[in-house]
Amino acid sequence: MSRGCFGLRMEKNDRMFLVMLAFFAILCMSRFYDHALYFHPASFPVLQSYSMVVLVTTAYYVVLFMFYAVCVGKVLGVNKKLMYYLVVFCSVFTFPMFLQANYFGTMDVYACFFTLMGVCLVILERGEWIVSLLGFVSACICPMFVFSGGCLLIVFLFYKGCKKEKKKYGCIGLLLGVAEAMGFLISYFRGSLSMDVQVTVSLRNFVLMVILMSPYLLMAVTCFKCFFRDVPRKMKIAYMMILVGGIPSVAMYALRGDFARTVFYVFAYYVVVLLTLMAMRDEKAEIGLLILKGEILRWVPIPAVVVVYPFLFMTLWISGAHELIVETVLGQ
Amino acid sequence: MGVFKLRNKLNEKKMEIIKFMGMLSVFSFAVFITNYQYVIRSYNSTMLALSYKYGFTSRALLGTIYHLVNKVLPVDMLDYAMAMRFAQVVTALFFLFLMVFAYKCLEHCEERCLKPCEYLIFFFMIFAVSMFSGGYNFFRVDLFMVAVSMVCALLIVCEKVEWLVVPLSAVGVMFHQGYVFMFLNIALALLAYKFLSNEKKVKYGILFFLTFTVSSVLFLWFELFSRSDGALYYDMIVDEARRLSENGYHTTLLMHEVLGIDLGEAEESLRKINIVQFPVFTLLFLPYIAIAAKFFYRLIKNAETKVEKWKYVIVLIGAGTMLPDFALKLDYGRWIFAVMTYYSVVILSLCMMKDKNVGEELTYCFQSLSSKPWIFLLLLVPILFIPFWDVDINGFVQHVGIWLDSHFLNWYEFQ
Repeated sequence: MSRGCFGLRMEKNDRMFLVMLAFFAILCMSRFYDHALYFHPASFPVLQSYSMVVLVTTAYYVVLFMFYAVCVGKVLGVNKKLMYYLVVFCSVFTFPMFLQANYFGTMDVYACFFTLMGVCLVILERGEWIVSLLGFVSACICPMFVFSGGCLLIVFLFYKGCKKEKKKYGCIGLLLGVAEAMGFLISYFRGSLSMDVQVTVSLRNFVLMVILMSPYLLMAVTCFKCFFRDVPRKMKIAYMMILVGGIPSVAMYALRGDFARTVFYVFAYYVVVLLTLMAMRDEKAEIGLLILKGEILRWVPIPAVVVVYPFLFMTLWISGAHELIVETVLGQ
Repeated sequence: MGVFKLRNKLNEKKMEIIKFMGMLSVFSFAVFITNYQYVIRSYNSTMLALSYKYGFTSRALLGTIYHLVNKVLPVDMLDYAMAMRFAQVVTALFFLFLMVFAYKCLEHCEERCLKPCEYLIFFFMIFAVSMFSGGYNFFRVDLFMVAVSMVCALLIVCEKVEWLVVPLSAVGVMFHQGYVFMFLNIALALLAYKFLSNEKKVKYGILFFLTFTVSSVLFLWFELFSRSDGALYYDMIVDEARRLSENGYHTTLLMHEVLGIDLGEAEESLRKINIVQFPVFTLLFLPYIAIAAKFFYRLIKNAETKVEKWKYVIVLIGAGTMLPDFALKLDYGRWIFAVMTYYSVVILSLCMMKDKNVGEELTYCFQSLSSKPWIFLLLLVPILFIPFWDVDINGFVQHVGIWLDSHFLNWYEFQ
């Protein structure tokens, strides 16, 4: 076991796991990246140039791996395997999403990049003040960040404030809120406040997906219900904030008919929440996930299916080039 | 007390199987729904126009069955909409059969093999269900060949009406003469295994001989003699094929099957796809190949007697019947699926027959893999490879192949 910087404990298995995950990421890149860059509303034209998009998508992957390394390094030894599953579950959504042609180069990738950086800072408790700056830049580039990553950062600062009972986090949270509002208004006055909506999944497929994914709602209830048992009122509010923090982005994209983003944000938000809480060694998250693990082991003979199952939808419905090959050479 | 414990243990196994089957059903349905494209390719619908009323020609069994159904039912089945319904029903029945096979396998195997068998079944089902749900191979005749070979495996394993293996193999060849290379090996390998490990050597020897001979004779008939007067019926078949297909019939198929015109030369340029894609696929599939290689290496090494070693060597090289297909034909997606089907079905059958060595090695393999905390990633990767197609192995490898060609090779003149 090595004790690296920022107090991260990386065991041999952790390093091996991250290397394997990197291989998996490369496979995902080869499968989903089809080199096409479509038009997406951008606050600054340079953000839509091909090389810039490639650069920021690469940076997004790097930050994603940094986030995973922080989560795996921060968690206690007994919870390592649980963390591996959570990390892979998160990757199922985060790896393919911004490589698929319809979402490659959207401003969301910038927002996710800054959000993950912010979350890392909050977990590591270093330079948290920078979070408000990240929020401002994100809101300027992708105004809709205010409803997705912005909410995530604010609720975590609120949670930290409640848990540590330090005014510092309240101040940073307030500053972040102001920064996001400023960024949002700047975008509005610059005339770049347009919502990027992609219709990749039909309503019929979305409804089917909701039905087929309903077991995950059950899992979420199993995991999150213990958050509210035997905790002081202040923490109850903090957990409640964390839970409702995912609603704005999900509702916004569902109402506009971008169902691929809806599925992505609903899963990505709550999985990142669990990863972050585990990395911050939140007792309730640990208990909730252990109960969930017990239930999964009890009812699902191959536990990895829980991770594999949504990857089907991400690969074949959301991110996959799923056209029927034209019968050119031999047929007709 | 002992009886009570045993009963509890049996119930535990039954519960585990029920849970697994429930999980497998939901997962398979999701695989189906995400791959299904509500289309029958002209190649597969044109196949329905072939029938034995035009002579004992190759690949005509499916069409004959379809024409019989058309006669029996009070509706006109000779159009695309009805062909689609027929295909849906047949595919649903096939998936149901796969589930029954999985259930039978888990029911018959030893308790220590239960988990490894579950993983193997799960792995196989991902590929099998996606292959026959996706638009490319939906209602392809391979589906019937897989079903026939699995029925043969069940008959041999359960030792019930084993003589049926002979006519069933003939039926397989009548569906498509490629059965001889692709799926006959399952029945032959199991019969050879039984011959070497059973007291009833004469019975299994005769069964092996008959299965091999009948299939080979039929294969030679279809390849060499069956298209003598195809030109007489060509227009009639084309007319039916048009009605049964959505966007025109498959000319190449009818030319080859009815008129006997070999268009092999036209296919030669497609071999480049194979040459580019197959190494890429092999490289990406290396972890699974390594696991299988380790399993067979240990299985043969730990076999106690010479006869046992031979048994396992036969099981290992049984997939070698696919070599002519790999060397001479182009549909690598189908060949790879056939190889996977062979190893999955044969290993599962050996588990059902409670082979001691296979059980031990499977358990050892499973335990040594389970100790690696990242191993569950290996269950995610197959999702990237589905569904299998034909000349292009699958969408993923096709994508990589096109990239390699456009950046380094500049070979694909047909793109």
